[in-house]
Amino acid sequence: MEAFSLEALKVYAELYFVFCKIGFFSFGGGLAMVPLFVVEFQKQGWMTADQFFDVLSLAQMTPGAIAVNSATFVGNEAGMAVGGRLGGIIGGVFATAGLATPSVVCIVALTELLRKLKKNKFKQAFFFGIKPVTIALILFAGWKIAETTFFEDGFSEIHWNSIILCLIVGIVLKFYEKKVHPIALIAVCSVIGIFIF
Amino acid sequence: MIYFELFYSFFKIGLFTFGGGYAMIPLLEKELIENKKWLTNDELLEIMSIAQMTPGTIAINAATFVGYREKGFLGGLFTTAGVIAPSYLVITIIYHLFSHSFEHPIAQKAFMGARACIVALIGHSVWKMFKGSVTDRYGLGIFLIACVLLFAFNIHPILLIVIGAGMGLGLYLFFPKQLKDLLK
Repeated sequence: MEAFSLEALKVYAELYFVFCKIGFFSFGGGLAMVPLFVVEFQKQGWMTADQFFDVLSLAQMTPGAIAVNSATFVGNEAGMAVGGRLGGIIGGVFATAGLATPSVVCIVALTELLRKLKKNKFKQAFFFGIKPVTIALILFAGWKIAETTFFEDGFSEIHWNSIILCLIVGIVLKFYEKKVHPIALIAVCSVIGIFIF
Repeated sequence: MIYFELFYSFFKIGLFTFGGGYAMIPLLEKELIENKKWLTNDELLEIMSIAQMTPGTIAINAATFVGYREKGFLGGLFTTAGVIAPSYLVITIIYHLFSHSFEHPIAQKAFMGARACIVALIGHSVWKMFKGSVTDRYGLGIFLIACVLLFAFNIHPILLIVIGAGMGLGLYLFFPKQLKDLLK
């Protein structure tokens, strides 16, 4: 089986460690990882920057975190090159697991640290400063999505139907927040999208 | 089966997160705060703060954090696997069954609709978090400074987090009396 050849196993190990490394050195969310991705992939010969930008647009369109989606795709691509279809499926697992490893390690360590500092005033002051920043960052992330959904070519073209759809959802949330599940709203809006865009 | 419940909750969240880690916040609110009662609003904000200053993707960090807090290391593994699984399955299926360029017009239209919805959902979450956690002028000041730095100067998120932490600690060092009642 070529998917379990020595060469294929070597690629799986590389996928795991490269994505581990990317995970460790990226702060501030998926898109912050893009430059790291490009450098590493070219070094490994897995794909060119251009190919990767195609992957990125697919990763943004499919469910889940952008970085995880990209890792799965690249793992499939690199694995398939050495081990056929099965190799791709296995490569995807190794790449994705590699990306998740630093998160698990760091979060576990941090949780333990925070537990010890529970009543510490400095820790509380630290979070007092960081919480408003987090809200601002979430607002900014929302604005970034809005920018690409509502406008095109830097505000020269306005998608009024997306703005109206967004406002309707906002009104629904204001009055029926407890009754509707966000998943249902997303599903309904996807169907509406097929008809109005 | 709490482990299965953790996995399933995060599987659902992962499956309906479009457009990056922050887009999962409305789903986390509904699933973890309202339905399962695993967290409070303020705890979720704390988790998001931690998730974005820790290496790795925000979605995985948040999932690991919740799972680990609820059920220890094994819990963390189950939530992490749950939030990753939809990505892995969907991308692997697309990779092997469709050609590499998956830009079907109908999929794109559906995606546009979903994004318009997500903008409203994130806006709503921001409003709730703002109302719940920014309750005094110090917090409001930090929020406004952060907004200016982000929107006008496009500052890197990590730098902004460092500045926020510095402002919190600075306030505590220089105005301990005023801040004492606000810290909990």
